Amino acid sequence: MVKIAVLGKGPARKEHLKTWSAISGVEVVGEKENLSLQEALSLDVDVVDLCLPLDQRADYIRRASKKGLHIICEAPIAQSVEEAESIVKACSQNQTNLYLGNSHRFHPAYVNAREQLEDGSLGNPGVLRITHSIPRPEKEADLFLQVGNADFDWLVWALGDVERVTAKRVQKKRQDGSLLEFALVTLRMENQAIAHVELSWSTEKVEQTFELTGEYGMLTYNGKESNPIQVELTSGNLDVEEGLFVKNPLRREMEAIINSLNSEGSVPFTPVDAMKAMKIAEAAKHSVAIGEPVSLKRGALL
Amino acid sequence: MKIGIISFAHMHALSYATYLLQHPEAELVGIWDAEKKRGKEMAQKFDTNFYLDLDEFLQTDVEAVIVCSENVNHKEHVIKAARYRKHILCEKPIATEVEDAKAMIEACEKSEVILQVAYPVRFVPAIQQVKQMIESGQIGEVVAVNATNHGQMPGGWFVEKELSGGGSATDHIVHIMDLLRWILKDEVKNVYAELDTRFYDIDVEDCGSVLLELESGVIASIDPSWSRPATFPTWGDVTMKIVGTEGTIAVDAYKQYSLLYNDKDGRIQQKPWADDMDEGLVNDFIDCIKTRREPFITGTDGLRTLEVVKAAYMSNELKRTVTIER
Repeated sequence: MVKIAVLGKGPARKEHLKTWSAISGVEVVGEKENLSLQEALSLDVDVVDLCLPLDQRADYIRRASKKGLHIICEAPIAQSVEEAESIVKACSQNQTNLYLGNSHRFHPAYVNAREQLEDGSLGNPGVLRITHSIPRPEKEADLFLQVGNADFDWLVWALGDVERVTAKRVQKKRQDGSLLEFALVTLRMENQAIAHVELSWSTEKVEQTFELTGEYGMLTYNGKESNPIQVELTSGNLDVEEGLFVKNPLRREMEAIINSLNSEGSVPFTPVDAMKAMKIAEAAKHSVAIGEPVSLKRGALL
Repeated sequence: MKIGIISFAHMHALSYATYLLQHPEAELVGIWDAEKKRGKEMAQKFDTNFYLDLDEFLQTDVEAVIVCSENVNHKEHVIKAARYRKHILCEKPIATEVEDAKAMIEACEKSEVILQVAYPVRFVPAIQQVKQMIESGQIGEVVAVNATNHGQMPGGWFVEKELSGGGSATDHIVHIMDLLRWILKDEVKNVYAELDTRFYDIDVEDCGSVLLELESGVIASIDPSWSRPATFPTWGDVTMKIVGTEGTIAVDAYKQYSLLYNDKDGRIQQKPWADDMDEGLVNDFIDCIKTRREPFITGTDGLRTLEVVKAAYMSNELKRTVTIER
């Protein structure tokens, strides 16, 4: 039995608590509201699951790892590659496992797309177009790191390393004072495929699309248009939860983590992978700043 | 009004000829073509005269010509037609070199003839509606555009650099570029492009991704790839996602179609029922000559878009951002 404490607040923690409770071999401890890290560390737990804003993740991971606990946390784990690397090192020295969340690696559409590329359905990949929009977090927000992260990771997972990144970004105040942020990124992969990624903060919902082309064809996906149910009520439209699965991506991710903890398999997303995606995000930011492409060689910034 | 067509090398000539015949005031009086067989066939099809000698054709009282020759030949044909004082509608791209485009514009100005460039997408009702929505401020201030002009690989002279001047970047950057300039009343500041040949065994590029900054600070990307598979249900697309401070418009210019699942030919096909944009273009050209007004799409519009294409090639070569010099 793996004992897990879920830290954080808001809908993410609720969702995690609900999902953990459905997985056998897991016991959730410290279910009360606003469980602090101090309290969690005093409990008899094996793993802490952190549902925290980006700026708190690094500190919590360090403290939990010091206590010998395994950690589950949404990627990115820190605001810079440097800090993330030092956290990964600390976890490894403490011999605690760091499991990172990833919205694409456990999403069946993205897993399937990677398989299609792997088995040669598309032949030599040509141009890969991805769009990604998620609601803006309340606090700190880094478009490349928090939205682009999953897309950059997926590209590397499916196609290998990135050779060069060029990015443009706009930030503008809306009439209501909120901030609009939108970016267009072109990536040249080491296998020479060209990827185009559109990133934005949405005001409401998650929007994800991809269009992958290669010498033998094209594979397209639009999350919004993939919902099998559309409901129209006289009192207004009812939003049916997107992604109807027997096991949703979060559940798949959590089960993979538990299997790994029980030494029954490995997780497909490691801190090393996470670092690569972070480096691409940093390169994109750097490209925005200098107005030129930024080269990545063997995963390192030049 | 007597109108002629110079070359059927570009297949759009067929569509232009059709709408000339339909126009109550226009008369298709002749076709010149360097390829005798094609020219004769087309003259027969459209019930008009065929000329093998371009000077002979231009010495007639034909008032205007539509130039649909291979890209590299636009220069020679436009300048010659201008010298004979004929009004000109030139297929896009205006030319394959910036200097050529400038010489063409100058020749037309000197002869005081109209030079219009064929950017028919401006006549798509959805595109005109989008322009109005943006001008009326419905999405606030525009800050970014993610656009595509995809196509299937056209083959023929389009993939022969000596005739086309280049591949998909030459073919497909200009339409979107013209829409961006026209809708946003803005010019390009700088260009970054990744171009490559990844789909076909051809000597020109067949795909790419172009990033732009406009003078106003708007950012834009254009995907000009010939990446539509042979099984794609139509020739390609023109799409734009236009992001403003108060909203977003997504436009798919050729969305007005019904889908045919065609067992007879073993494929799925888009069957458009939209207004034909080429009809709007041809009618506007005739109206422009009739009323002696400034053309709706000028030689300068052709030149500015060509400058972006050339900057994209240079950027791809240098792997650097290229600032446009005007």
